[in-house]
Amino acid sequence: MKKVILLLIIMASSILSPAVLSQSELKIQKEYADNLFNSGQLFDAITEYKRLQFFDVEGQYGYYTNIQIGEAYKGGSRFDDAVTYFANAERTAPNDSLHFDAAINVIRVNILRRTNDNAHQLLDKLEKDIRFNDRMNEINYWRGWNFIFEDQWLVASQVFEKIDKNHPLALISKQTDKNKYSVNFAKVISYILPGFGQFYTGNYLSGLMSIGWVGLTGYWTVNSFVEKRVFDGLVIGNLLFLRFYRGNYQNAEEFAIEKNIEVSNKSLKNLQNNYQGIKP
Amino acid sequence: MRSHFIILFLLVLLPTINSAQPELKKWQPVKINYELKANEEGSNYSTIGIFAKTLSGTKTLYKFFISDLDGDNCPFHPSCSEFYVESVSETGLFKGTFMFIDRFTRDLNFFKSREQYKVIKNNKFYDPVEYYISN
Amino acid sequence: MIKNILLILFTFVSISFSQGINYFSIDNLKKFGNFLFESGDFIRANQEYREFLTKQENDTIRIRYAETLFRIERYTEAADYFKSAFYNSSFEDEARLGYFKSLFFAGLYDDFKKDLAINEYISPVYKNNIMKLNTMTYYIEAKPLPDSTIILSYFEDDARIKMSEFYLRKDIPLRKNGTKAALLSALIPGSGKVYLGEYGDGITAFIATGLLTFLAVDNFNAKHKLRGAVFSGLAFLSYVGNIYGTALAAEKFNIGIKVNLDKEIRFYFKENNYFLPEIKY
Repeated sequence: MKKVILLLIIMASSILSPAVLSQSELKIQKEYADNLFNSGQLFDAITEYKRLQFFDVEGQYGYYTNIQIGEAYKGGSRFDDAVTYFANAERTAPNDSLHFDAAINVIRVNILRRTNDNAHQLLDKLEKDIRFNDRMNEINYWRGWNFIFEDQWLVASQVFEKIDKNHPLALISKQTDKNKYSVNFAKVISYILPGFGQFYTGNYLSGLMSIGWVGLTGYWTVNSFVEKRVFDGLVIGNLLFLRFYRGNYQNAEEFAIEKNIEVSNKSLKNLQNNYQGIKP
Repeated sequence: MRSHFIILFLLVLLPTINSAQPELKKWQPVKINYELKANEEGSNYSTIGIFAKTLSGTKTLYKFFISDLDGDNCPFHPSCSEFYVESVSETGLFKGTFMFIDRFTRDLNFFKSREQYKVIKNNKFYDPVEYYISN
Repeated sequence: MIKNILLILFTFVSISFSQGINYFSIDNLKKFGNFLFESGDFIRANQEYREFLTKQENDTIRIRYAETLFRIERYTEAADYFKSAFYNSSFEDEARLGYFKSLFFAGLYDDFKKDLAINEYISPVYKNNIMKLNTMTYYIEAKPLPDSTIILSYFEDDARIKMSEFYLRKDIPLRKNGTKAALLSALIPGSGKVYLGEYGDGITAFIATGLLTFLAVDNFNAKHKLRGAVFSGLAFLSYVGNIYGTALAAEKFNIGIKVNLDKEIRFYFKENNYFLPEIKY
């Protein structure tokens, strides 16, 4: 009887041991790849994750490796490849929760590579999926980021407010929107009061020079007409006065746009370097 | 100079090709920048002589006092004043001046038949000095 | 009896333990490399194959290794490896084609032609493809074309028609004569530009020069000497500038023709994958 039991044990171990061994080998391989990934050797990490994926016949690391390869490609700014692997992860996700995470990763890469329309469409898809109703906050969070990357700070702040009235990103977005200049106002005020559009955006020297030119050429034009030199008046009015008048409001518009990019970039830089929460 | 021209041509063409680059080399991690790109472009002149330098100074004054204030009038990129400085620095005072006069006449062209130029951003016609200098 | 069974089992277990699974064994390097190769990840396949080849010789892996070098655009190295498979390999023909295509893509057209003269370098199976590549070098290089009947004989049907069309356009380009255009402009300002097809510019130049000349004459007649001199100067500059501009425009036109044709030719080659066959190694 003892002998039979011994025999059974040995038989069992002989059958199980290769499987057990391959388990530990896979684990070692995973740790090896993780080490490379964590030390920033992303290219080599991808190779080792791919090796793990290839020898992991049962696919137990399928989701994990796809996510890690996607992250590594993302770290190398190879966004298209990153999307491919995150989408693979989405497909191989063992449950809904992980499926959602992978989908969010695809969206984050889309935000970063500024294919914002894609990101919106993918977010819409997640929003409509009833499985993910309890993760609406996350969906809104990334939608807010997407709007930030689209330079639509006001909409972004409204989306963040859906999560929490005092969400830090809502406050930042709102403030950024407030700091922005109104392009239309700059233009319209320059129509009425030349040079004032430039004053509004803080370009005082340019504003003063605009006032000078428009005033001077305007004076010449009027003077010519007053002195009955109609031809001179027409030429000066057309070629000089109108030119500087047009330049004045075009300039105001240009300055406002330029300043707005500066404002946005300041906020974006701040978010990139100082924001503690999760970022795309 | 001809290869120069082709490279420029390709540079204009390349951004339109939108496909994932295959991995050809072992790459390093890249820090992603969130910031938007501003619409700025500076021109640099390869060999700048005395005439070009003087002109460049005049151009700066012209830009500061007039062209920055009188709106966007030139349909070309680079603008006529930039074209002048560049053509003089590339070919010398006389040829450069004649090139500029020719360019200015083309600028005046009120028939607006400009299908021979490549249209770039801001609806400008791309017409750099390089296109006119070969060999 | 039981003792024997136990002994057999024990050996089996101990063997399986001592072996383990080594993902970096020669066999596994090959398997993983092949997987990468087939999924198009050539740079990583290249790494695996290189590791493999340091331990074992295998002609399939060797040619595949050369192919990965080619795919990651290390053409001169690819050429060397293809060459190393010229003899004693089951892919001798493929190696020869690979060698020539590597030289072609490396832009080493002189070496290409030199080795083309060596008879045993030419694979009978892929001779046609190699000769096609040779023809393409003529189209890409800025050199006079050889006799069309010889170089076009390797192409069939549509490709042949297209290639002979390119041949004609390269041989006799639709150039405009710069001297003629400049002379025309000297005779009547702006007419050279009209000849070049730039009607608006031509008419503008004519009007500008005409107007300035009229103003100069008018001012001289009215005894405004200074104004007359200024307008004369401007009219002269406009006249000369237009002539020079016409000559430049002709040159630009001609360069444009060449660049556009070159672009079209390269696009056609690329579209047809340089007439290279699909090879399974």
